[in-house]
This record gives sequence, C-alpha cells and structure tokens, in this order.
Amino acid sequence: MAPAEVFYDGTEAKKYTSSSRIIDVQAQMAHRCIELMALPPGHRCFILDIGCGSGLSGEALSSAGHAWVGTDISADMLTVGLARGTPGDTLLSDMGQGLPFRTGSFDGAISVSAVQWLCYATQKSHQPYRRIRAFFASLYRCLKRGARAALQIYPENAAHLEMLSAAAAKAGFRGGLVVDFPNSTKAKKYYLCLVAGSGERDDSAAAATSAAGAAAGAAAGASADSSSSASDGDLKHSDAAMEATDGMGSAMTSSGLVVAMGRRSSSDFEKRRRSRAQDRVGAHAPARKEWVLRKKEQRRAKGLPTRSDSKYTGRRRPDRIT
Amino acid sequence: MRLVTQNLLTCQVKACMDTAATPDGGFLSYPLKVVPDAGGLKQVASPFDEGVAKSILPRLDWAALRKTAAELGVAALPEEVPAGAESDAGFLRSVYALVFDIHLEEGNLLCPHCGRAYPVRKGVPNMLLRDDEM
Repeated sequence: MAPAEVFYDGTEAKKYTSSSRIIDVQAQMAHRCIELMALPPGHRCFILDIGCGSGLSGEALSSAGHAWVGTDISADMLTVGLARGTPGDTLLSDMGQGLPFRTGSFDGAISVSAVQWLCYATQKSHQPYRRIRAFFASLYRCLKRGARAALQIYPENAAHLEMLSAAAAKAGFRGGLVVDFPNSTKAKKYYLCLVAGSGERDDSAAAATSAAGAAAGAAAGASADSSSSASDGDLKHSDAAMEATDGMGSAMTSSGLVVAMGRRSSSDFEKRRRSRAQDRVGAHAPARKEWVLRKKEQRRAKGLPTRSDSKYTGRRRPDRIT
Repeated sequence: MRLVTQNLLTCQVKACMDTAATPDGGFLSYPLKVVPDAGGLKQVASPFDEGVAKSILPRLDWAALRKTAAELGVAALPEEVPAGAESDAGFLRSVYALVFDIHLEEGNLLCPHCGRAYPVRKGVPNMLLRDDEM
C-alpha cells in the first residue's frame, strides 16, 4: 500500500469535499471522538487533531466550541482544508517522527482514521515499533495531565491493535479500547481511549472526574456483559482488566464494547495452559474425524478421487513407525 | 499559522532536543523564531471569543510570546501577565488579537538552538524531518 502522503493525493483528497458519504462518516467519528474525550462541560478547550486532513474533524471541534491545531502528513489534504477555510491552524508533520509541541500544550487530542498508518513501514528507514513509540511518547508529553486522547483507528488485524495499545500503555497512558457496533462488519469502529497521567485533571475539572468515577461502576458492569455476549475473536476480553477502565466509565455508552488494555491476568494464563494441555491429549479428536469425513464428502460431490471411509479414517497416526 | 501555534511549537531535530535543555529547566530550542518573507505576515480580524481567550491565557508561554511579539514589532507586552488579567476584557481582547489574528503566511521558523529552518508556505509550517535528523 502506498504511504499516507502518497495515498491521500489530489484525487483522494477531493473526495473529502465532494463525497457526502465520506463527509458524513468522518463527521460521525469525529463527534464520537469528542464525546469520548469527556471534556469538562462548559469549558472551551484547546485540542490537537492528529491527521486532520481536510479539516472535517476540525469542523466538528469548532462547532463544539473548541479551538484546535491539526497535523497531517499529506500536503494535498491540507491544501483542500485551506480551500475550505478551516478555522484552526494546520501543520505538515509526520506523527511517526513525534509531535513537535511543547509539554502540556493541549486539553485533549482526537484522531480520525490516521493512527493505523503507523503500523506500516512504507519507507526503507521506517521501523513501525519505533515510530509508534515516538508518537505515543510525544502525545503523552504534549497533553496536560489528566487529559484524554480519543483515537479512531482501522487496525488491519489483532497484531496491529496489540502493537498500538501496548505502545500506549508503555508511554504511560491508561485507558482502553472502545468498539462501536461490534456485531456489524461495516459500522464496526475501534476507538483507542487514553488518559494521560492520573485521572485527575490539573484544572478545574475535579468535579467532572469524580462524577465519572461514580458512573464507572455501572458502566463497567454493563460493558462486561456486552463483551461476553459478543463473539469477537480478535480481542482478548478480561474481566480483571475491565476494572482498569475506572475513570473512563462516563465516556462509554452502552452501544460500545469496552476492552481495557494492560497486562493479562493470571487466570487468563491458567485458561490458556489448560486448553493447550487438552490439545495434547486429543480432546478435539472427534471434531477432527468429523472434519475429515466432511471434506471427503465434499470431494466426492465434486467427483474427485477419494478413498473410501473406514474405521481408520480421521485417526491419529502412531507417533513412530518401527 | 497564528502566533498561538508558534507558541506551542518546538524543534524536533533529535540532536537539537538532546542538547537543548538548560540546567534551570528551560529549552534553548524554544521558541522558534518567526522570520516572515516580505509581505508574509498578514492581519485578519476574527470575532473575539472571551471563553477561548480565558482558556488560552494560562496556556501561553508568556516569555516566549513577549519575545516573538517584540521581534516582529507587533505589540509591546508587559514583562508578566498582570494580576487580574482574566477579568480584564480589554487585556484579553488585545492578547486574543495578538495570538489569533496575526497570520504567518510565507516565511520560516528558525530554531534558535540548531538553526534548522522550518519553511512556512501558504500558512502551513512544514515540520517534516529528514531521516538523518531523527
């Protein structure tokens, strides 16, 4: 795949002003990010928009009454943004090189469909792990303590998701992953919700935080239910880790599925050890035999040469031929 | 790019960041010096927003803003933020106009420590680094 600065060229960038569907989806995700940032109500805040592109997410921020600064790596997208007349300032900057802001600059950060680009090495010099680490370390630095970042991502697979959330945890962020519409293929969206430093904001938002803490208990309970009912194979759900979402409770709605990041609990290890032990003694043997029989049946239906079934079909071979 | 953004930006060159810290906790690579091209500085009046002005005031690095404003010759600011500035509408208005209305359209941002120039074109600073600068 082409790197972001090449992918978002003139023609791709134009879609972000002409296609009403793209505009709609982007605006929805931006509003959701703003909601997940859980800014203290009634405050005018200063927000960083990572991967601001043509400024669609910036418009959502402005309409919510916040000032913002955006960064993007695609000059074409920024040009489109300038033509639209974005109310915030924009910078041409590669997030994998670190964000060029001084410490404690922002009350929060949002990002719509940008951070997953860090997972790809599109140039010879790119090392995804290093770039992801540089990004999260600089993001942590430029946020105020207690500020939140809501990053909407399109992870290609579970490994990418793991890579991003592990790097965020390593940089010092607390928080977790919110999955909206977990049972829909198309509308399913991942949001990495991060809190920089302790849960207490260092400005006059202590009241908001304590209210969030009170709501957290109920929200955590609700989300634990939804995670057990959703059959999402990509993600590891851990009840113990769920408690780590504490302060984020207020930001999560019941439509979202919450997965806290952090270390896997010891009971998880126990479960995995047990399932491996079962594999060894052949606990799944009947399933294997059925599978072989089904496959043979399929081959016969296609008219392909197939051995007839016998009592030996689907059995394990002896370990060693003597 | 407006002065409020300039007030946040630092040089990201690794060799510069590694040597820029001073013993008293300051940074030699901050603030980036604004060097406008001829006619590259523009003043666009925007509607005053008191809420934003109040929230931005404690965020600004006052010494850096004062230095930049003096270098550009756009405003003479007091050495420190005057007491009770938050409720002084006139003062808020002047600071708001300074940080939000002055746009650098064409020019450069210079790191005062390593001398790296970040070009600003059509109001967008190019902060991309070369591989050997990271």
